[in-house]
Amino acid sequence: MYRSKTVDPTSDAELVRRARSGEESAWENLVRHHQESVFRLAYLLLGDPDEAEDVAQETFIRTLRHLDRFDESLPLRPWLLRIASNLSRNRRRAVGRYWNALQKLGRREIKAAPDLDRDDSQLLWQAIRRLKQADQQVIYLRYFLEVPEAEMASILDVARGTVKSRLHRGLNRLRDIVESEFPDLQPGL
Amino acid sequence: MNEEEHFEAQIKKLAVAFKYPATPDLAVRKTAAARTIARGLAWAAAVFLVVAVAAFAVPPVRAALEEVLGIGAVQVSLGEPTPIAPQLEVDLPGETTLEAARGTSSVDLPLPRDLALPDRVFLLSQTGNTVVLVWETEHLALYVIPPGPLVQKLSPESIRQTTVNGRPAIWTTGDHFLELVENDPGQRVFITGHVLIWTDEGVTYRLETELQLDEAVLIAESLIQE
Repeated sequence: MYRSKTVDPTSDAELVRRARSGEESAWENLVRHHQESVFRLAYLLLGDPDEAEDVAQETFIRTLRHLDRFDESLPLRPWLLRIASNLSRNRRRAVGRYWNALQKLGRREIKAAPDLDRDDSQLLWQAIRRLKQADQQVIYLRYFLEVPEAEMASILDVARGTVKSRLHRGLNRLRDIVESEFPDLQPGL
Repeated sequence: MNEEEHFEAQIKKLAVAFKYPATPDLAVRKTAAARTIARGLAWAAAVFLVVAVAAFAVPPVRAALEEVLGIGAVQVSLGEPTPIAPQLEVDLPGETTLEAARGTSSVDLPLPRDLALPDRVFLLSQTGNTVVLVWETEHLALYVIPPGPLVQKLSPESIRQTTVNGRPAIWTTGDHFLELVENDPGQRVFITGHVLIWTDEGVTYRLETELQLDEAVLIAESLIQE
C-alpha cells in the first residue's frame, strides 16, 4: 500500500476515483496520507490538540461529502489545507472554544497544569501567535509544514508573487514582535 | 547572508524542530467524527450557560472566570437580573466632531475601512475621554476607550469568546445595560444590540451592532488609521 510521506498527486487521483466509487479503504488511505498535515496545521492555528483533532476530522468529512466536485487532476492536499484553515478560523470564533476553556478552568482546580516545554520552537510559536491570523497562516504553511510556495498559492487562492509578499510581510512583523516581546529568542535569531 | 535571510533561516530551523502532539488516526474514527459535527452550536451555547452559572458558584473558579470575562476596561457579568426598566433612546453627552475628538483624545481613532465617516461623534469627558462614533444608517456605534481605570459593566443575555486579529475578544448578545462605573456609579445606558469587545495596545474597543458575530469581527478587523 502507498505510504510515502511525499504527496503523490497521481496516487491521490487514483484513490479519489476509488473513494468516489464507494471503496472505503481508498478513502481511509487518503485520510492517512494527509491527516498529519491537516492535524498539524489545525493544531498550530488553534493551539489545542483536541480542537485540532475535531477540525481535522471535520475537514475530511466535508471533503468526502464534496468529493464529486474535486478535480482529480489536481493534488488533494491544497484543498484539504484550505478547508482546515477555514474551519480553524471559524472555530476560534465559536462558542465551543469557550466551552473548552471552561472545562480547562475546572480541571485546573484539581491539578496544576504541567509546565510547557519552553524550548525555542515553542517560544517561537508563542511569538507567531501574536501575529494576525493571515500572517500566522503563511508562516505555518511555509516554515512549519514546509509547503512549497506554488502549493501555498493554491491553498490561499492567490498568485505566487502574493505568497512571497505575504511571507515577507509576516516575517517582518514577526521580527518586530520577537525584538519587543521575546528577547529570550533573539540570541538565536 | 543578510540579516533578513539569517532571520528566515533561523525561523525555518526552529519551525522544523517544533514538537507536535501525536497525530490521531482519523481514518478509524468516523462515527465519533459524525457525532462531533452533529452536535450543534446551539447545544454548545446551552451547555456553556449552564456550566458558566454553575462555575460561578465555586469561588476559585468564579475568580478565574471573572478574569476571563473581563477584557480591557470592560467587565461582563452573567445572570444578573435586569434591575430597572429600560430607558430607550438615551442621548449621550458631549457631541462633537471627528476632528475635535481627534484633537482631544489621547488615542488614535481608527475607522472601519469600508464605511463612510461616522454620522455623529461624542466625546465622553466624564468617562476617561471615551470617544463614541455612530453610524446611524448602519445602526453601528464604536466606543474607543483609552487606557485607564475606567470600568464599564455589562450584563447581557449571553457571552461568547472570540478573536479579533487573533487576539481574545468577547461577543455579547441581547439587550442589556452598560454601567459606567468610574465617575457616576449607577448611571446606566440601555443597549439594544450585540456588542463585540476587544483590546489593542491598551485601548479597549466596543462595537455595538445589530449585525451577527462574523460581520462584526470583519468590521473590527478592518479598522485603519486615516
